Amino acid sequence: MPATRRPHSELKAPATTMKTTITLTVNGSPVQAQVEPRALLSDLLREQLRLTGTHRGCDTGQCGACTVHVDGRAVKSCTALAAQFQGTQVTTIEGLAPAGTLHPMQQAFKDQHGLQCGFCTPGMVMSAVDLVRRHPGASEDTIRRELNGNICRCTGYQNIVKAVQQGATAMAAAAASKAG
Amino acid sequence: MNDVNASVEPVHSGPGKKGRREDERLLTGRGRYADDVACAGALHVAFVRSPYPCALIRGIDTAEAKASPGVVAVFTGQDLLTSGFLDTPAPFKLPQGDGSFAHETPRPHLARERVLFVGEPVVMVLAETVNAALDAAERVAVDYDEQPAVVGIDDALAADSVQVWPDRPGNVGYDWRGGDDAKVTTALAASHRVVRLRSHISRVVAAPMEPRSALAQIGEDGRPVLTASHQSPHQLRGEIAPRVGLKPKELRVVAGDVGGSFGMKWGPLREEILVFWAARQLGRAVRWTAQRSESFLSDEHARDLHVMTELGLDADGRFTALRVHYDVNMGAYMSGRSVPPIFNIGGISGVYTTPAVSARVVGVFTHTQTTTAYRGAGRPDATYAIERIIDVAAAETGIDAAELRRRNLIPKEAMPYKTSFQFTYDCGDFAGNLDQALELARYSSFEQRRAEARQRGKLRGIGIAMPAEMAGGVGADWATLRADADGGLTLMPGAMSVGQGHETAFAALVTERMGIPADKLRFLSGDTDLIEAGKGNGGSSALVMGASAVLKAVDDLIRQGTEQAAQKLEAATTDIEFGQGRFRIVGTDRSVGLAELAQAAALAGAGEFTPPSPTFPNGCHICEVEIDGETGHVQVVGYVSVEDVGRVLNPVLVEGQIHGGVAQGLGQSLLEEIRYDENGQLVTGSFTDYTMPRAADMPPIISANREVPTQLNPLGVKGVGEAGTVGAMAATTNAICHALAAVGVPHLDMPATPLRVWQALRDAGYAPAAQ
Repeated sequence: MPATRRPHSELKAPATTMKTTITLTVNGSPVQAQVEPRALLSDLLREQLRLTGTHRGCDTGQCGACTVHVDGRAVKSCTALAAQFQGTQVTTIEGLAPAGTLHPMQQAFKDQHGLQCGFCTPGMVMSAVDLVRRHPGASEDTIRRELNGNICRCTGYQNIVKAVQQGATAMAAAAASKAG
Repeated sequence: MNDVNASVEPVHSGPGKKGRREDERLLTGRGRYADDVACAGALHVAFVRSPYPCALIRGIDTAEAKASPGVVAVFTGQDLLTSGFLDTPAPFKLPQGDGSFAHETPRPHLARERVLFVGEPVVMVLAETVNAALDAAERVAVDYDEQPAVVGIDDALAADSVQVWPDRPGNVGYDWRGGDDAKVTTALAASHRVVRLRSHISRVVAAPMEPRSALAQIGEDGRPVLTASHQSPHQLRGEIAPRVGLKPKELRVVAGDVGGSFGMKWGPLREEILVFWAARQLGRAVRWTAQRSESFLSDEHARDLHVMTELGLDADGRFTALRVHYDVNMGAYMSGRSVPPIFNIGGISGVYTTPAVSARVVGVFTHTQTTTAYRGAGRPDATYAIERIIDVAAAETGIDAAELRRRNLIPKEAMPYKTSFQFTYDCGDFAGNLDQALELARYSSFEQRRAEARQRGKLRGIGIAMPAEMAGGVGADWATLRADADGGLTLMPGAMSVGQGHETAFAALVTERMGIPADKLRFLSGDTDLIEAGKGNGGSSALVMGASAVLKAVDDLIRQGTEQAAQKLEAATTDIEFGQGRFRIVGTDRSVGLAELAQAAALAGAGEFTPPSPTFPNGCHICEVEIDGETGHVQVVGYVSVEDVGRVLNPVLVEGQIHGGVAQGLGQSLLEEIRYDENGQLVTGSFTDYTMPRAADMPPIISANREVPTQLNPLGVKGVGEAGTVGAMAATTNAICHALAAVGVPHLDMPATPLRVWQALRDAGYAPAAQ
């Protein structure tokens, strides 16, 4: 029986796509950008701002390689529209620590060999920082459970878990010395 | 002939608390993966893919797509032919059991007359933006005449099956045989007992976290450049050049950071080649990055084979003969990429003295994505074949699984040992691997833990696998080490990292031998313009071949430097010694540095290494699981890996490879499966449906190195990239089946998902005891 795949006539796009203007703060700097309504936060970061440390690994919010911080909380930037982020403070892996330095969590991943190919790593680090914020002193079980939204294909997670533990300790120490 | 020098001292260096050379860049978002490379004005590609597993193409209407906003070009398979871009097969010639040869099937870059699997590319749309290309792809009308399809191995081999290729009767692409089957027949007939198992190794996909991506543009010198997420730039260049009528030197292929590949990002991949062709055709830069759902459709899959094993034993439990038969689901097309199960079938003889071993491998066509290499590339399958049947034999004979293995091990005193099948082991201490793994896994107290688990309503099992695999044995690899005028050195190895950390490992070899600080060494890899020749990445060969070539380049640089220094210092070369970056006349203070020599004349060392024969990484893995009889959930509660990967140069990197390898084998045994429905539709098309191992699925892994250095290369290394996976698939499945056998389920095929385990338990009449 012949079967014909027909075009989706309802998908006819307008000849020009209306863009909206949004203003937000990215890695501490004010940003004003024109975005299509369907542009994702990851599109804005990667294509317009050229912050290519935020990776896209699955497009469905499963793998977490695109994780960034919005107002201090972890958000998967490939499943959120850029236009939603008017007036927010966005931090990407490039802005996690001042240039030339490493955040304690980045240092921990380096020390513990918590990365191999590095593709999942920016999202993994951003998630880990948020994990520690929500669960200071998390147990190994909690860390493993809370990393459910970040997939790594290279490491088997063992050294990632060790890195998050080291990073958590270092973050607590840094917070304590700041408070003291 | 290689001058093999095994007297080199071990070098324990690289990351410990300091991390890898690569890490800072990758941790701060400064990695450079293919999709990160900026290219203003590049066109974006969307592919129209077949929605049917088998259909005739009656017509393609691209008019509406071409008129779509932002579209620059729309190409069909016929357009490629018309513009002189011909189908170039991947030549393949495999000797079969009857003396004839099997050959590749044709494969167009875009399907023309018919489509043979869901996801096959049919039309290529190029537009100014990704969204414009995707929108226009929806406007292509392809008139398909759907045909009956065949999906599974058994259906394809049935007498009345639909034929995928009219000229490949019975859907058989190849029928390969190895070993002395007549001897096996005789030995099995004379055996005290023969155990048999028919099982299936599931279809999986490599799923590196970085999807495939390619960018083609014109370089500053006017030559075309392809930047691609690929594990062998030289090999890809060699595939592309003849297809587009260029000499290899007339194009450049670059792989920057690659976010995992695992064997899948190798070979003449259609989309990458099309991107390159389209850029030249249109005179514009072109880029394509797969979305993950597209990756599931378009990345070649792996494994998917039936494994039939017969193992003979004498009255004392000694193996008398082994026969293995694979039926491999090759998918729709056959090429040199289709045969990992044959290339690595040597592993079926394992670490045992079995006097007669034979094998037959039948490649079967179906209307599914092609299967190819994935971490282990046939090695995990071979180890599974022998190690799974040993556990079945243990259960049938009542001999403990560790004891049964011990009775049959090749003793280290027998090395070198020629097996009755394909492998000749140069060295190894298999009993030592077993003893150490049993101790680390607390094997002797397993029954106590099982009894304790039973109290909690849990079924506990333990599984052993003793992998032996062939690594690093095909062809040569190369390296260049250049002295720079500023006193630094530049290393350009042919082997490239796709995540392992070769930059760190190779750099350590050079800086220690040359006596220069780490920051004086530049590292360049993965670029066909900078590197004359290179293997790239594959077959656990980077240390065995790539690093050996680096050592030879070091030696060559010192030799040439010595000659130049002798001339400059007016001394005999025999009076010159090298150390800490300087050439000295022995016993004097007269010396010249690398920088001064490099300022005066070009100075570069070249290294090439071809191993005289393959190496054989081997080990013992023990997995322990606990199954919830109520839910079918399997928790891996312990995992031990004892590996002999030869001399260990960098324990941290080796352990990382083992961890990751184990995760992939364990993931396949427990969770992962590419599944088509009975109509040939892919039903696992995203990470929502295809279960990747997460952190909570993985146990803490205890890994130990039992180093037996090989004499086959100057470093004494055997290769580590695939070892973890080779052992893990069999050990994990054995552990699960061990737990289930106690309640009347003799075998369960992977993946041991909760539903499948629960169903098997119910089918066996198992009712969890009331708590």
